[in-house]
Amino acid sequence: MAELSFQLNGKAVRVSDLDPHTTLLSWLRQAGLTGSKEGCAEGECGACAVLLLRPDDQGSRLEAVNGCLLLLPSLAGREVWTVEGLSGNGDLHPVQQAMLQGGSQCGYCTPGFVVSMAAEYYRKGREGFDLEALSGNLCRCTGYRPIRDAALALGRPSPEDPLARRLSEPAPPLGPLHYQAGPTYLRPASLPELFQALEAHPQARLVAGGTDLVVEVNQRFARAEVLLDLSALPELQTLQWGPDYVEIGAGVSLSELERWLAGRIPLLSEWFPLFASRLIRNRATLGGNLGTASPIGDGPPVLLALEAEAVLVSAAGERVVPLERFFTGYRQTALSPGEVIRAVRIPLPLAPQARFYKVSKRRLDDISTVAAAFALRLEAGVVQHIRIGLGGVAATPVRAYQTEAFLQGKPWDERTVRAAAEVIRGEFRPIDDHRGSAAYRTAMLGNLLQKFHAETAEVAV
Amino acid sequence: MSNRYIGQPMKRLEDGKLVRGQGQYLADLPSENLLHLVLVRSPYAHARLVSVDTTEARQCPGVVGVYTSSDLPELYAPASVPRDAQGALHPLLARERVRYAGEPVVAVLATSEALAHDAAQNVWVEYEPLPAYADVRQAEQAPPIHPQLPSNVALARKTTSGEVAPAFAQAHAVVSARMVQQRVAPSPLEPRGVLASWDGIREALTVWSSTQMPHDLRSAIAERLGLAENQVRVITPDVGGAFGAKINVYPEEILVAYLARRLGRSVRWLEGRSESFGATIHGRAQVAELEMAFDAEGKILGLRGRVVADLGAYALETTLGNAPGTILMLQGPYEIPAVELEMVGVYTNATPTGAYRGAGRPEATYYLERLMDMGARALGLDPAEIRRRNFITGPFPYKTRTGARYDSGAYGEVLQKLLEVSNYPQLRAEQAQARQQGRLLGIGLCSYVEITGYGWETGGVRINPDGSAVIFTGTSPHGQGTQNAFVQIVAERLGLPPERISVVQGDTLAVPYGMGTAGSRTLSVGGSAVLKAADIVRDKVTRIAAHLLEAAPEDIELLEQGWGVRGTDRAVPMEQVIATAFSPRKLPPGLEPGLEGHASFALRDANYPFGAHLALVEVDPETGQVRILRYIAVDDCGVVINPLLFEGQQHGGIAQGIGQALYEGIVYDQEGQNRTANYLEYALPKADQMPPLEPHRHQTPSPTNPLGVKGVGEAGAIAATPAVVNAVLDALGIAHLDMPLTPEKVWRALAHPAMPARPR
Ligand SMILES: Cc1cc2nc3c(=O)[nH]c(=O)nc-3n(C[C@H](O)[C@H](O)[C@H](O)COP(=O)(O)OP(=O)(O)OC[C@H]3O[C@@H](n4cnc5c(N)ncnc54)[C@H](O)[C@@H]3O)c2cc1C
Ligand code: FES
Ligand code: FES
Repeated sequence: MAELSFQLNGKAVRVSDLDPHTTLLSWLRQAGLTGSKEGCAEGECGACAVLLLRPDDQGSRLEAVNGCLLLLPSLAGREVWTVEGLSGNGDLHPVQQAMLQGGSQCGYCTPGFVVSMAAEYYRKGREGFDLEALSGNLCRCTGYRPIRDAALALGRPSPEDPLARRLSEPAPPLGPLHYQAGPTYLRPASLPELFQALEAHPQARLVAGGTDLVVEVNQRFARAEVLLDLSALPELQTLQWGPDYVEIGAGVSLSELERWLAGRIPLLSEWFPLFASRLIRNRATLGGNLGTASPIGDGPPVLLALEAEAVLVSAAGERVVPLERFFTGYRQTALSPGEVIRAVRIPLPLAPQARFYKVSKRRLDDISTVAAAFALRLEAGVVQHIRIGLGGVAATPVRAYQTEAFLQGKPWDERTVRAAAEVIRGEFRPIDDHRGSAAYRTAMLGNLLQKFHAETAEVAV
Repeated sequence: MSNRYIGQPMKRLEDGKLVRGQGQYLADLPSENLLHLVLVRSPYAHARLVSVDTTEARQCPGVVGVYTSSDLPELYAPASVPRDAQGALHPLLARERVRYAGEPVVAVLATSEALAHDAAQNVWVEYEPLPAYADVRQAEQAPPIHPQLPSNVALARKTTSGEVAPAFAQAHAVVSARMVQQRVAPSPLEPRGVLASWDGIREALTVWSSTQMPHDLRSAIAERLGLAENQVRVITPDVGGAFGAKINVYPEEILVAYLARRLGRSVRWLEGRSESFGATIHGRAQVAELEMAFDAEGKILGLRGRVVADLGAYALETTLGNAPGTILMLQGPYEIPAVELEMVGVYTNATPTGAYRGAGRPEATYYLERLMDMGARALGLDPAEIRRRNFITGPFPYKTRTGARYDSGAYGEVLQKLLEVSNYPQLRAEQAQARQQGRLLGIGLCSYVEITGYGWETGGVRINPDGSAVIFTGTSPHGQGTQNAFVQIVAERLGLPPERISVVQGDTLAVPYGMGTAGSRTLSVGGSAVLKAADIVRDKVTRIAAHLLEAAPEDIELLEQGWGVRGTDRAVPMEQVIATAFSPRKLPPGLEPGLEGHASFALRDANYPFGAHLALVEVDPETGQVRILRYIAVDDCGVVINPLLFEGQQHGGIAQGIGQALYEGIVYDQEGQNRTANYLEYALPKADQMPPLEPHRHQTPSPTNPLGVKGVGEAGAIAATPAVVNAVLDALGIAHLDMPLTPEKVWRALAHPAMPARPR
């Protein structure tokens, strides 16, 4: 089929014969909806932000996402709003009204900020305005303060607000899609359909949130004959808290996960705000983070410290691979052809003390120079269990086995940790690059271990 | 009557459109029947072009043309080349050699952007790589990258005044440093773009460009295409930021205009973000070796040294201006009895550099303010005290040894105000206390004086029969909102409601002439022209009102309800004056119909804003990460027409200054590849990195223009960088580190003071 349809600003639209690598942003702009801007086409600036409707337990919810990283067919059957849909032809939307107070200078970033702000404005049960909602938007003109002031001054939507009303109804369920216009875009809605598709197209490129893949499409003109979208598979959207482990569907977005966990896995809670931005987290998945297998990704160190396992599924059935054996080489994984990551399992109980640290050029959401996650259990001041996951120090994400072994059974005191810091500094040979030198990375490993000790020692005593 | 509009925090009239997403930027213009230009750019920083094979690309679907330099006339982008400098002009497409990674080599024109990209992948260029010199120190000694020139040194000047050698011989203390002003990318959120359309009926070219200088672009295109200036119309749509980067006329603008003319079609080029990191000028890019001599009391005796500017591979219009601008402002707000300064501009295998927010003043201010802090350390003085002892106190106008003529200044007062509003002694006490607890707090000061305004400008005011009015200006703001200040001026002078006034700018057909928006000139030069035009109209309005009221024009005054006779209750509403102006029979003898005035204004002397900023930072000793806790600014930019616009410029400028101090920097590797060509690698400041700014004002009216204003566009970017760097170094207790102060650099300084920082 060379046609698909979705809802745009409350009206049905049909798209036909367009290459499935077309992004929503470029399609919108060609269709004359030029409110969404392109500032980078790589998910960094947020000028392209649009609103996507998602189901939630009280109906539905609006999420702001990067329009430049959405492949058009991924929208089939979904509802999308752009900045144009907020004011319609009539009065300014309250968010737009708030931005009039100095929030705009050149105005190029403004529609993106308006959209990100609107998503937070409509968030149910919010108290105040969570500025994290604006973390994915860059502005070069205003210095941000007037924008922050606008956000903090926002009231709440009135019950008659058409979008607020829409949110009390559920979002449409995602069905299967078979779209072909040049390349093929498949969105199976069940595992059997997935296996069928994988058998027919063993070379298909998997897409989850697309936050890695579509950057490649935009920046390096990556093209696939067949794209296989995993987002309509209920089996990848599950979240289960069992007696022995927590199982997180590989297709759950990080924002969704954050909400669902509500702090129950403290190490993940520490990690989320350091991961990119709200816009990216609304799409990015654990499956994609592991699938990309970037040596500087920060999912792997966290999951390694939690001793997570990847649940891989194929037509032949499931197998469970501990994460430490999942990364086999530079950007290589244990995935066989025809296999996808269905879920990530985190064993229970959790080590009581855990921390995640990221050192980067900027403060928070940068690509990390070094990422380190620690999970620790003490018994009477002695290390009974420690797991250390690291990124940015080798060709793959790694565990610091030698350091773990060194610490095992030793008292968790300053002397031991100082010695352990030397062990961890000697355990890896990181590289020099423009993000950081080998010497800095090596030194950081020890420092972060000592920082972890300093922050946990009080509790331990 | 006191001011109704001038000085008021009036909201900007264009924002309704912008928040709706209805701004019309270049990429938003209607795009039917366009041909799309995509440029194949050099992957090498320096190479000989061996061969270019476009056969395959020409056969790709949708392709209309594929061009190399041999398919084009020999045209270059314009450059401003001082008489004593060696100009190396930027060709539209590379000829024989490429000299920086990102230089355009082949132009591909197709019916869609995607098809043009596809075809561009099928252009085969053979390069013979040559040694690349992206580093200015290497390039200074290297064989010339432009073989027609004797060396890579394009510009070398010396400024000497006073007795420098004795000053240094007598000095109680001398501080010296090698300081790098790293290359940074202006990076407006809207990249560049241009669209040109040939109109065969009128035999004229219309060009839309995301530029700061429409008239300049018009002249450049007309001259190169052999057209008269009345055959080229340049329009700027909404412009999504520029910060100096869109002053230059770039090769792509000429190329698009040329192709549109040659094919008789509409042609568009849009710059991508990564492309922009290579194809749009970078700013700063200097290395300075300077020393300053002090007497025992901390008074400056002399300043000497050398500033080497990295020009990049070619000269564009603003490339050769930064270094002279740096020297001009190197005396800052201080009495310096003797200077000996050398300036060198060097071509390198890197993206051309040019004006970026401040262009010369941030560099000069940074060097000086670093030296002042070093002097304070050497002499055991408080940084505030050493500044106080050296300020110029007048009389104004004050001529500096570096060639500037300060119109007015109150440097001590603004520093004093800063110390008061920040409660400086208290901050120092807190710092000492924090240190006891192992926390590293740092306080950084920056006193600055800068230069704004130049050239001349046209302004016009037209009142329509329905009472609406139009302002015409040759300035071309691109986000600052200065047009709103013009509306306030006209509303004030003519008693018209602001919402009935619109502004025409950025259109060479509608506006007689203009020098665009740059150098924070818009309000002082453009605003003064608008004021003069408004007063021409006001004069006529007064005469009509006098006629209607049977009074003398001298007795007419502007009231809330219209125009009245002083000392009486007789008045006529503005509507009646306007109606009369458009009824020839009702006009008094000697007055012609219509209500319109046009004027021009030339700024004879630049004006010199000044101020003092303070940053309070905390450094994490474990990781070297820096957090700004407070940021306080006191800026004096003369009379403030609109405090909202004023603060907007303060905020934005400070954010960019902080960006340079802590995060931003273009990094070239040994091969001359830009390793920072996207936002993932090139770190623009984000919202959570901006401290809550505390902006303050001080007002000393400027005598250089009738409004008494100075420019505010660049102050923040000038002052914030040294203030933040001084604060971090204060926290670390060391003399100097080069920017950006990344965690690694700071951490190295803390952990291993002996470990040399890697070149960045
Ligand atoms: C602006 C920006 C900032 C970022 N910041 C960070 C950051 O701070 N930390 C970080 O770690 N990452 C970061 N990333 C990278 C990216 O967001 C993450 O890797 C994310 O988790 C990818 O998830 P996704 O669902 O979007 O992956 P996709 O792009 O959909 O897929 C990524 C890869 O994984 C494969 N894949 C996806 N799902 C599966 C599956 N279930 N089974 C097997 N293979 C699969 C795909 O085929 C593809 O090769 C950033 C990206 C951007 C654009
Ligand atoms: S265009 Fe920059 S994030 Fe999409
Ligand atoms: S207003 Fe210009 S980028 Fe935000």
